[in-house]
Amino acid sequence: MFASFLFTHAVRQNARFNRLLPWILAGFFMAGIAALLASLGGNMTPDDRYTNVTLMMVYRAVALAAAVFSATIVSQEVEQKTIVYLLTRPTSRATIIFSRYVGGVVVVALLGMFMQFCTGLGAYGPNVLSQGVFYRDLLAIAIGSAAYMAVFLLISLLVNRAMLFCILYTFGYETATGNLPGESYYASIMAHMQGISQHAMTSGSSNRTVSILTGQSSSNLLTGKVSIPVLLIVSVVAIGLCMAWFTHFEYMPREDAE
Amino acid sequence: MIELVNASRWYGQVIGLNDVTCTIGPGITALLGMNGAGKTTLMRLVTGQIRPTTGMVTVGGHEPFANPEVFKIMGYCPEIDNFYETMTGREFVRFIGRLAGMSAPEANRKADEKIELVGMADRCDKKIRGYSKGMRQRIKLAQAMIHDPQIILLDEPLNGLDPVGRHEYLTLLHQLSEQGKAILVSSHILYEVEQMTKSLILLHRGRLLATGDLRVIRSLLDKYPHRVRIETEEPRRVASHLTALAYIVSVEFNRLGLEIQVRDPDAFYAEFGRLIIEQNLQITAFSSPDNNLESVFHYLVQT
Repeated sequence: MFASFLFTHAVRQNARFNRLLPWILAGFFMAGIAALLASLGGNMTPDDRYTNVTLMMVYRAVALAAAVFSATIVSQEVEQKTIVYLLTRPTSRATIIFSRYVGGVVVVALLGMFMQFCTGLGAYGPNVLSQGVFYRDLLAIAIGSAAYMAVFLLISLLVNRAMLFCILYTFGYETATGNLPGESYYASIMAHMQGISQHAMTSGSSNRTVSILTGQSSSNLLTGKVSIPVLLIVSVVAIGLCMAWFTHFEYMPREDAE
Repeated sequence: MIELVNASRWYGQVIGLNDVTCTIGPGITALLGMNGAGKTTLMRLVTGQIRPTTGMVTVGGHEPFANPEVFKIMGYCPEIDNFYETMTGREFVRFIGRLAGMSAPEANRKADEKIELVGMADRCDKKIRGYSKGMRQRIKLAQAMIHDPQIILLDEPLNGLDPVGRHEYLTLLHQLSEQGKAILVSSHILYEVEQMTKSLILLHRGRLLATGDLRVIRSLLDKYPHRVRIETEEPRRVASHLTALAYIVSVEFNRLGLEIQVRDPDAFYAEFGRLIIEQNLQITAFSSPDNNLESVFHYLVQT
């Protein structure tokens, strides 16, 4: 089921410096924003700044990174035609996709954690490591990365131009559901990540734009007890479907398939 | 080892392979056809990348689609030149070795062995993105052989190789063939194929035109008489003896002697030898210009 060399290969493929650079720069940018908000937003506490940047930027960056890196697992191999080397060897397709998925999750989770650390540094300074919410965020990012990657990988196996659907889900559906009345947020990975991290409602949430962007304009009753199992189940089910789909269907280099 | 029974493959409304039945055993077999003939589709069916729409494909008695048991005995060298460009040749071959189920030390040892065999030992630590077409072909062959498979499939393997490289490649293929391996080579360059083997599978527009030994296929093409060029100082005397034979279709004189067309080449060659001795004919050379793959292919496609 799991092949360490495929995992290592996926990590090495994804962790090339030129691939990581935009995300590293994004982390520095988030640190800068978290620090700058102190001078811009008069009465914002470090908690407010940390929460606002986390919910507005870090979680969405994690989702975006998952969309980008999930494409490297199969779609990019098909695009670059290297899929043929993977599919004509005595390693099962389920092992290939699962090992590469785990490699992708590790890279996305570490990038998310790096961006979260940068945000914490910008908001709290060196005290970030003594903040309980920071560690809950790390957990939320780790589990959220697994869920996003699994769901986006499934989408990439099912449809062409999967990136478009993933971005619409992240920036459209997830932004909307966090602010809609009712319980539609149950179907949002980001809402479950918020459920795990349990950020306090910020004083900035009285500002309507900020509260919409942070998904705090309606109440989120999710807690870690619910959200952790939900995201884990989503991850397991989605990756299971990916393995079954990838094993059953043909994957040819793109131009030949058209 | 490889068997196709009424195998067809459709891509939507387009047919890639149409009702092909053939068997491929040990030795080198050439898969021949023009672009779009169905060679790559057949390769993909055999390598389990796609399933037949109808019919059956088996390799070593197993259906190949997504079947690791089949890939244990099969090595595949695809036509594509795409690699993981940031890897070195050695890293790539090792990676394929790991995919073949080898432990890391075994993959390292086998990779070094195969890289040496394909003549890439001095260049295998450079990034693949800097490789020439010929170097890529060699690395592809090394990765196909890494797990010592019984069946090797090579899709257009000689593209981009220089003459020395081609010679070395062909020598290696013959060595592998002598070890009892089944090697299926796809190509559309007849000259290349002729140097490799006489055992052919000829495809045209998705259909199997002919399969078997080149000479046998040629002899079955009765519609096109064999041409034989005879170089002699006494063409008239030779012609007078030959025209008496029943299966001579035509005689044409030229600068070096004469060119004849015969219906039954085997009978002709037997009789011709007897005539030379009995009539003391002065023959300096004779050859058959259309007993080659190009003519056979041309005749079959016309048919």
